[in-house]
Amino acid sequence: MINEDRVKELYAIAQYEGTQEQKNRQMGQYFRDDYVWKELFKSFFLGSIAYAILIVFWGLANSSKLGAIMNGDSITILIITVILTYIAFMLVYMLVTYFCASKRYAMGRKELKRYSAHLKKVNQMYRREEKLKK
Amino acid sequence: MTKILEIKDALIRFTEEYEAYVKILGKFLVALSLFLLISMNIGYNTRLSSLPVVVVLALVCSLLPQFVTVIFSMILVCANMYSLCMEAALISALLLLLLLLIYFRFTPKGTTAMLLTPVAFKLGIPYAMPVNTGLLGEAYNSFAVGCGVVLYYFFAGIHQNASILVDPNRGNEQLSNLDIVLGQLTGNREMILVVMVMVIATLITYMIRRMQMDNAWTIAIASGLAFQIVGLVSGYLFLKLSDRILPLIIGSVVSGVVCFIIKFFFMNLDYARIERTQFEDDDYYYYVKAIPKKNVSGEEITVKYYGNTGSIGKRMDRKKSSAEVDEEISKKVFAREMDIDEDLLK
Repeated sequence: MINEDRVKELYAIAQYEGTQEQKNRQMGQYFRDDYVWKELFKSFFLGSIAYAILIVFWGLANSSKLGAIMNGDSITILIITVILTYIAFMLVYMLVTYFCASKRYAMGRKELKRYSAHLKKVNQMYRREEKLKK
Repeated sequence: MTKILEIKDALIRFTEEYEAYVKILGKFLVALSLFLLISMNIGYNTRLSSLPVVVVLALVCSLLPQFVTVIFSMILVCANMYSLCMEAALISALLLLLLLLIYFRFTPKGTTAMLLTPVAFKLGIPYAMPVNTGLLGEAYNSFAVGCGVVLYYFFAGIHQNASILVDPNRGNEQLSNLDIVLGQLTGNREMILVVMVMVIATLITYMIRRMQMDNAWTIAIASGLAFQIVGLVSGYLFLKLSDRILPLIIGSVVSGVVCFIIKFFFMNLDYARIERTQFEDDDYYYYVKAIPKKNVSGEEITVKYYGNTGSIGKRMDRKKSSAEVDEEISKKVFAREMDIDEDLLK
C-alpha cells in the first residue's frame, strides 16, 4: 500500500531537485557576504567591459570631435571625464549587483529551507517505519 | 459568457495536462516567429535565412532554455549584418553585447519581453507589449520593453538604408557606412520618443494593477493604452510625423483587445461577489477581502448501474457488520494518534 504522505513529500523534493536545485546550490555553499562579494567581483569585470563598449560607441559617434580633442590640449580633461564617468557608472552597476545578489540569496535560502524541511519529514517517516518493523 | 468560461477552463486543463509539450510548442513558436522576422527583414545571408535552417534552429531552441533563443537570435543577426557590411555587424554586436551585460546579467528571465516587442511591432500591435508586461511582469521588465524597441528601430533603420550601405558607387562626400549605422541609434528621435513613452506606460500599468482597488487590471490596461496614445500623438505632432497617428489609433484598439484577452485568462474576477471578513490570531488582527474568480463548475457525470454488474467488473462490497466497522474506526484512530501508517495494523 502506498504511503500518500511520503509520496507527497518525495514529489516536492523531486520537483525542487528538477527545477531549482542548480540555481540555489550556491546559496547552500556560500555565506551571504561571500556570495555577494563573488557577484560584485564578476560585475567589476563585466561592468568595465560594458563601460568600454559605451566609450567605443561615444567615440565612433563623435569621431570628428575626438580627433580635435586628441590634437589639442583638452586631452587631460577628456581622460579625467572618462575616469569620473567610469567611477559613477561602476558605482551604479555595483549597487544594482549588490541589491540583486542579496535578494537572490535571500530567496534561494528560503527555498533551501523548504527543501530541507521536506527531507527531514521523509527521514522521520523512514525512521518511524524502521522502529515499527523492529 | 458561460461558454467562453468553459472554453477557458478546458484550455487551462489541457495546458496543465500536457504542460511539457505546450511549453515546448510555445518556445518553438516564439523562436520561429523571431527567426522568421530576422530572415524576412534583415536576412542578407541567404544560407542562414533559408526556411529549413530557420525551422531547424527553432526546433533546437524549443528543447533548450529560453536564453539560448536570445543567443541564437543575436548570432543570426550579427551573421546577417556581416553579410551586409562590416560596420553594421560591428555596431550590432556591440549593441547586443551591451544589452547582455547591462540588463540580462541581472534578469535573465526578462528575455521574453525583449524578444516579443519587435515581433509585436511587425504585427502592428506594439502598444500591447508595455501593457502586458506591466500586467504580467515586474517594474524592471520595462527596461526589456525599451531594449526591444531600440532593437526594432535600429534594425528597421538598417533595413531601410541597406541599399545605400552596399552601394559601391556612393561618393566620398556622402555619409560613411559607420555614420549611417550609428545614426539609427543616435539620430533617431522617433525611437527615443517611443522608448520613453513605452517604458513609462509599462510602469504606470504595473503600479495601477498592484493597487488594492476594484477592477484594478481593467483600469491599468486603460491607463497604459491611454498614456501611450496621448504621449505618442503629442510626440508625433511635435516631430511632424502625423502620418503615424492613424496606425497608432488602430494599433491601440487591437492592442486593447489583446490585453483584455490576456486579462480574461490571467485575472478574471467577479467583483459582484466580494466577501469581507475579520479575524485575529496571537500576533495580528486580519481584515480580509476575498474576490472570487469567475469559474464554471464542471458537468456532473452520473453513472447508473442496472442489474448484475459482475460482468462489467464492478466489485460489489459485501455489507460489513457493525463490529467490523467499529474495529476499522478504532484502528484508524489508533494509527492517527500514534502517527503511523494504518496498513501496518492490518
